[in-house]
Amino acid sequence: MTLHRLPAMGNCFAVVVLLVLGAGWLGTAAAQDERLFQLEERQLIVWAFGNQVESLPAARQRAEELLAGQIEFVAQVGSLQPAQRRKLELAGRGDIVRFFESAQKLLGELPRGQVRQTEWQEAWQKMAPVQQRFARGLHECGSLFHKTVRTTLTAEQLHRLEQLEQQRARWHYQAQIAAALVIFDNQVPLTIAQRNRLTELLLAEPPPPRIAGNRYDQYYYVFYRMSRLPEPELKRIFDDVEWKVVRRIFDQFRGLEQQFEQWEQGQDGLVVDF
Amino acid sequence: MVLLCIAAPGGVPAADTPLGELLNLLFRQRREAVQEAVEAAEMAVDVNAGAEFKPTLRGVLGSELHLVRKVCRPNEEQFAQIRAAGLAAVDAVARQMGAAQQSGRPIEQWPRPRQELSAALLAKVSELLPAEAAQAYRAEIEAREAAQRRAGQQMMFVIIDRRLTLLPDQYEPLAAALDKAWDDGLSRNMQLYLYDEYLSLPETRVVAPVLNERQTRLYTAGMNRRGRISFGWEQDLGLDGMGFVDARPDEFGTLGEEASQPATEEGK
Repeated sequence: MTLHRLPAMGNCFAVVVLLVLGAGWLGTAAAQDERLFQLEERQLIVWAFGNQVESLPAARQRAEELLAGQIEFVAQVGSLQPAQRRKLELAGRGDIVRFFESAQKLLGELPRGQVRQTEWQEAWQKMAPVQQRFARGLHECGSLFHKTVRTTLTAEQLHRLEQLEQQRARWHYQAQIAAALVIFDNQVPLTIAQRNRLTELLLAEPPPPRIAGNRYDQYYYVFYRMSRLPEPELKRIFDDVEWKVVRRIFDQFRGLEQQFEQWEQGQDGLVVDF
Repeated sequence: MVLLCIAAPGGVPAADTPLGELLNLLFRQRREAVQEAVEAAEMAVDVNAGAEFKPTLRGVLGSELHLVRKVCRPNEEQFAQIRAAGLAAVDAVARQMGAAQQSGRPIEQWPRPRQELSAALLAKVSELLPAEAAQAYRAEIEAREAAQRRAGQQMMFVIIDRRLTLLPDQYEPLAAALDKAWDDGLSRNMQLYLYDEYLSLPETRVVAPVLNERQTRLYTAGMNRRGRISFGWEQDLGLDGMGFVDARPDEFGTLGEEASQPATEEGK
């Protein structure tokens, strides 16, 4: 049995469609046998930068503010020298400039006004990577900023930063575990003792690496980790009736094992979000 | 007919339902009369209303009965009575949900199925079993509610941290601030936190005391453009297993043969 990803993906699609419709973005005009869509600047901006941003300058300002936050976080290592800070700022701005140059170029190439359905879909597809990158953050793993942090901080500072990042990752992972167990509880009713033991076992392992896949992978990853707990341990938690249901649920995650294993192998110590 | 379409079941004052609001407009200052009119309309809802919800509710009941059996250890006769009470509650909750659907109530005004069913089971357990058994089940229900509430808060923390990049010394104060002003509606459906761009964040006044100037600016930006997201009633009511729901019918063998009929035979 493979994981039922379709319901989740279906949800994503339905939500996107509903939101698009709800926001009144779709202008529909029948043109012979092909529908026409109204594609406006504002819509493209929302596609690229999310519904909280209404213009390119606003998106850029947001990126600058987020960079300031990242530097503030790094500064928690203590004794960050002015020269180090300047290097981080330069690197971070470099990421912003590079991203917005590409985004602006792409935006300039996309059509406006009434477009055919296929053009509308193509525009959506072209904007998707921009949207994903902006949503993930411009200064995460792989960015110039991220690399510069690693080469600019002293070994002691870097050690302290990794501790802070692990602490942050742990808060996030605890939340993902708690949420995943709420969903799991809908299928297998958990007692207090079962919930506590599962949480304890899951937290005994290090937090996950940066997850860069489907939104739902935040929770799926927890189920995957559960499925990898030693079977004798799991059988001590669940009775025979429950174990049959638990096995069925775990079986659905077999198809994702390879993907999650790859992420774990690619772990670089910086755990953020996606 | 129009009245029936916008009437609503219990849980929210009848005068505050869509029908109530309409009648309030027509009959100003007559809240009591409006209340009576709406309730009368609700009573007239088709007795078969909500039949489509029963298969899912039976699945919820089945797993809840498993918990009762495990925690309270009733004998066969007691268990049969507890199950009967649960099945009656399924009918009642399904009808309430049907009425809520017909009247177009927003999902937060629908009954909460698992809570309603566990309350019915707890009442029967209290009636039939020793006080310690009922107390043990009550403790499980409360712990589950607390875990769900906490999970929502923790995921909200994650969303806020991703948006603002919190500093370590803000973690505990923010968690405390969220707890203090928490809306339990935000803990119903964990999928909300996978679509954070459309998630309603707590009001700025809740988190502002913990945030610095930059973070507050980021937090408030675009607050009024979040919209609203719905995943369908099953998900919105927190009954979703994220892809597992299709394999639910009586997996714990607690419902008995009669109650475990396939969904397609129900309510037809």
